[in-house]
Amino acid sequence: MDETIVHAYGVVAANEPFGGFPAGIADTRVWVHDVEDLGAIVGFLPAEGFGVADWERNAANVGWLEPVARRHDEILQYAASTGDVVPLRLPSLYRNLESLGDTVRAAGDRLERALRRIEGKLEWSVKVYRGIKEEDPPASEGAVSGRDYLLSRSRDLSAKAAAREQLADRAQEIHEALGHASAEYVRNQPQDAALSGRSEPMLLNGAYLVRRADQHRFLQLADEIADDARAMGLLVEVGGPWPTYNFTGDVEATTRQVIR
Amino acid sequence: MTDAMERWSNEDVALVDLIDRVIGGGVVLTGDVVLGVAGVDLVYLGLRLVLAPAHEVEQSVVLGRRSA
Repeated sequence: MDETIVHAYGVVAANEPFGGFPAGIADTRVWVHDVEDLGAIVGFLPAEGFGVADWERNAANVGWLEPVARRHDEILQYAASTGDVVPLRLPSLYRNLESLGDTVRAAGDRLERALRRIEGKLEWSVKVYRGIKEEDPPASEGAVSGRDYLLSRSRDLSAKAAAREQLADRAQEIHEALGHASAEYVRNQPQDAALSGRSEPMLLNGAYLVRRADQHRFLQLADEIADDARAMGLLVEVGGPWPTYNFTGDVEATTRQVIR
Repeated sequence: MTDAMERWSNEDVALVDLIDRVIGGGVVLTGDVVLGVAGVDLVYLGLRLVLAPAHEVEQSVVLGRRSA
């Protein structure tokens, strides 16, 4: 048998009814490997093609990374549709099952805490954009003198700035309103327009940890908020449910959010 | 599924959203083969740079903004 490496997708409580996983990265089999009271969702990948050297070589190669990231997420989505799973960040490679077992045992307390934190909950994302149809102040028609023009121009600009500030405040209010309907919530750095492919400025990039039982209420609230916000020129986009990537209890996960 | 859930259900997950979560979030476990955290940061930053041209933005503009 060719040399393999272990890829770990996420961590669950042992003896939970997780199974019947779809195919994982590179169409490999996925199963739960028990480590004492915890279970790691794992698969064997060919060391040639998915090892450390491949990560180093392909770290910025979207063509290589996208299918890996999508399968990683799909397996976690599948697990999250069955029960509670703590998602692991990519890359998540181990030499073998023993090495993975040692790592999971060493992080046992932290993982148990992370599991308790997300128990019965899923993550939703809400993004708020400022609509691009911001009406440009009409070129002051009757401006007769340069002084008048400058005065009216400066009035226009400060009105524009005030309007922007108002929209930013509204985005924060939306975040807090959704936060009240959530167990926890976090505000991430807005995505760069170049990366999101959106020309509208992103005012809010929020993640919300929502009890499964409260999802309907949360989404209805998001619906109402989206409708109200549209009248103000704000676009609200809701995505999910996601595995609880933003609520893993990791210090690293929090600091990561400031990296642009 | 309720109407509200249908309205917002995941259909097409944008790559930038995926990368933000799969590489920007989740628990970090350090094992003997796992790339170090610095390595992960490089992956994340590198990808964010690489993703931009996929959205038809001039790379020079993006790179310029990064180094500013």
